[in-house]
Amino acid sequence: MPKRSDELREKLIGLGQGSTRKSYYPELRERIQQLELFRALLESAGDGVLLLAADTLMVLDANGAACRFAGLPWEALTGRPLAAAFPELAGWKPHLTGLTERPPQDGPRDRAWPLADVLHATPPPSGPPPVGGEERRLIRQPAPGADLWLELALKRHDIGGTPYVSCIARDVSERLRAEEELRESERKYRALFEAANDAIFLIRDGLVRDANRRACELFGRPMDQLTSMAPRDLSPPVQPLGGPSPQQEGMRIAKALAGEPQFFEWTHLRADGTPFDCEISLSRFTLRGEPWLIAIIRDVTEQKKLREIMVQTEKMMSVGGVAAGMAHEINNPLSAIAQSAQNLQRRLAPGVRDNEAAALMSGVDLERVQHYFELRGLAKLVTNIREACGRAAEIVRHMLDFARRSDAERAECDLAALLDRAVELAENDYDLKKRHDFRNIRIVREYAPGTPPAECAATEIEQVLFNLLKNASQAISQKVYPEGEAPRIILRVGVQRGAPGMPGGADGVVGIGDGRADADYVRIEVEDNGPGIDERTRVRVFEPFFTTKPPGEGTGLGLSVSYFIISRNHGGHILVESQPGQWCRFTVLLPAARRAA
Amino acid sequence: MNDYELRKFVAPEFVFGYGAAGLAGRHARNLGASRCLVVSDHGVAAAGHTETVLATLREEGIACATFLGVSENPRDTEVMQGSELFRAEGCDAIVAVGGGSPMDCAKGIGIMVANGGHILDYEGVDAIPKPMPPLVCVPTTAGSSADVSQFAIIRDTPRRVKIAIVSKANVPDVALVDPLPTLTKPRDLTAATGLDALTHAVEAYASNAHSPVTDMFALEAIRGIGVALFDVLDNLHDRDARARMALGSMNAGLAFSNAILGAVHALSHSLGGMLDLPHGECNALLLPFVARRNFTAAPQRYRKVAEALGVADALSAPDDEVRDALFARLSDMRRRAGFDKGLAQYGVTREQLAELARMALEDPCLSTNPAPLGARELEELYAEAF
Repeated sequence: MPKRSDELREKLIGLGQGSTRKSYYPELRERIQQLELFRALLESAGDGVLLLAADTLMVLDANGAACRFAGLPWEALTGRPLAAAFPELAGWKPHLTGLTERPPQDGPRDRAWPLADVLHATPPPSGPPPVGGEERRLIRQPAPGADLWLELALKRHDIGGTPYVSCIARDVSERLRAEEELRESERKYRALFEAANDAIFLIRDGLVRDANRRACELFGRPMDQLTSMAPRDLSPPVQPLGGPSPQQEGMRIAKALAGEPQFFEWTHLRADGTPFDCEISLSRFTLRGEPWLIAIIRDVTEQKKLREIMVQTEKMMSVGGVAAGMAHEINNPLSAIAQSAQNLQRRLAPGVRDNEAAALMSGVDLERVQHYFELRGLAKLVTNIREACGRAAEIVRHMLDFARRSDAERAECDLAALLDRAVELAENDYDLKKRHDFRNIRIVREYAPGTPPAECAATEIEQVLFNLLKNASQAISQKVYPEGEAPRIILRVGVQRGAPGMPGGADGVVGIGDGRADADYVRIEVEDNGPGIDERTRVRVFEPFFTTKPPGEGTGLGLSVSYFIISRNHGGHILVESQPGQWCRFTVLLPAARRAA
Repeated sequence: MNDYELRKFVAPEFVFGYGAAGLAGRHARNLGASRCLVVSDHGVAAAGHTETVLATLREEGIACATFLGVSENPRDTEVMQGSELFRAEGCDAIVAVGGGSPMDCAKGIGIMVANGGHILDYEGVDAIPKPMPPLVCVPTTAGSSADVSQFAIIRDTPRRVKIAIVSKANVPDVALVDPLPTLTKPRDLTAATGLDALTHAVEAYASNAHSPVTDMFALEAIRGIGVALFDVLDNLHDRDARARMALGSMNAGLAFSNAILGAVHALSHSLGGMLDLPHGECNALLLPFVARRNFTAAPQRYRKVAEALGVADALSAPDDEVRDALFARLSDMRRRAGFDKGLAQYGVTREQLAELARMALEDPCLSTNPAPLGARELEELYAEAF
């Protein structure tokens, strides 16, 4: 008999390898294993899992995490209502149990957790309780240490005809804490961002996406305007340092995006079109995988002005030194000339005994010699020498003043009063009256109340202010005013806090003196609406002998003298700004008097 | 009573024949076992049968834990110990190797493992709510037939009674009836278990719950055992005679598991519970007296028994003659098997008889006895066997 038939027979008569009557046991065992595995999975879950009776919300089963959240052992957690374990649920009937007609009413809640409000927004039920419908709720669960925030997700199930509710409890404390920390961090960095004294732009795809308060101030534009602009829209078409703005900007951005941080000078425009100089630091950072640029824009106008002041001071000091040295050297021969000229006159004068004796000895009639002098105008020539010497001596005296500290009396002076006195002097000055029509100039006074006094030598300051007024009126006389514009001088007195070099003008920072002792400077401005001066003139205006007036109209020393009076004698500053064709403004900063505390 | 009344026949899947024990591993595996509790006793283990079965299990890749702490009349405490071992070892199936005691104990363990509580909670009929893990029985005696029956008899040690746990859930999943292990049985045990099997067959045949199907097995068992027992006792190494005994015992088991037993077992359980007497010997002692007492209640049944045991004219002679002849034949068989002690010689006192009878009256086996017997009749039977 072939082997196959043997095997078949074995099987038929129940003696085959697999010939055992059917049993559900292996299958059951497998299912039980699956259940045990499932249970183990459930137990290892970080979320709490609870099975509830749908009608009573009685806990039927719970995993380890649920027991931990409830702070109860399994035996105590099961067989009791859900609210016994989670006290905040007391009285709550989720609509998916079919027990309520209204959505759950929430009590007052800590506002610090805005997520809570979102989670509480459960849509109201309509019709019969939804099978498989879900309901969520955030609760605060007391726990030793810190309270837990649990997000409960309840879902209805019908198993074998019995309604159940599954409840997944997720510990979201950490998440909420992290969110809060993130918000705090965001607040912190936002504060840093907003408090920065530099303008900051966050740039993506070439457009400003965020800007700080300082940026709005600096550019004179509101936030929503800035955030739709490209940096090139905020720049003049061409950069003074070279190149069209868009091209330069593109190059800088490309380099920064390539990971090479950029630091450069740039000229931007305010909303009103006035340019301002700045230093820009441009660097890349990555946000959610996207490349962003952060641009830190520092307004260097003030810095530039300070630098200018420093350069000016240095130049003036050296020029002053040279001038004084020269004056000193010139003084001796000049004295000899003057002395000689005087002696010449004296020795020619009749009625002087020595002259008479010498004439007698020479056989010359003094009267006749005199007459000859008259005829040839020699006496006049000698007078001219003497006068010229006098003028030269005056100039030399001024030049010597450059290097000499004044020993004039110092007192606390009201600068507004000094300015008024200077105006009065100017009004009565013959030269100004006759040649410059000073009385036809409108004087506008913008004196800030409460300006503190400055300690100074009143006569010196008066001289400086008079010089400035004279300069202004001379400048005004050079301009032909168009229809509707008339000559005027604006006089401002105020205070300044901080370093010199802040922009001035009517819309500048001429502070309102509030009587506080912390003003750094008293600031006086004399602004005329004459022809103004160009930049080349502006930077040289304080140099000795520099003048724009026709020869003989002035010595070119007035502003130099003023400069040394202010800067060296008083430790102040004198600055000039101008918009050619529009205005010219001299600013005098004198250290404010420190009042005894 | 009509032969065609409703009757159920419950039997395990079983394999009979030389080498059946070697199939234990295969069947355990097919039933899904991965880790077996093997329940046996020290005698069986000493004879090597336990190890034989363990080897087949291991061959199938089934891990095993062994429990040998079973007494002759298995005790509730032993059941509890076994079930604890089952749990501790993470077992998922039970294999019983041995006589009635390990097999009944194994059933008890199965009940406990599935249902928890205490084994005595499940006393009575159909009182097991949950089915037990797979149970494979490998009998090493030809007598108890626990391997095919729905009975488990456990000794309640505090109350000193044997309780019967009768449930379809007690029927093993597989019985592997192998004559070969019975070859090592000593003479006394062979005789006692053989007479136990005969008692099963006689009581099942006479039972008021007998049926055509059980009758078939019962009569065949009586006929087979009547001859085979003495062939075996003549030559303990006669394989085929052992096989006929094993077959007879199995037939008797299939019969009594479904037709149930009678007064012999009720009285015997009482003796085993109270005095821890050997079950087979008690049955052998009591069988002739109970048959004589029951005869008039079911004369046709007992005539057939007598005929199957070779009593002449059993179907035609007058009732009382056949009754006495049957009594004589059963008593004679007991003596030939080597037992001649009365109850007194087993240490029973007359004072204990009333109590023994009272306990026997509670035994479920009494409900299928052909004659209704009261406490007084039961006490009289004890007295007769005294």
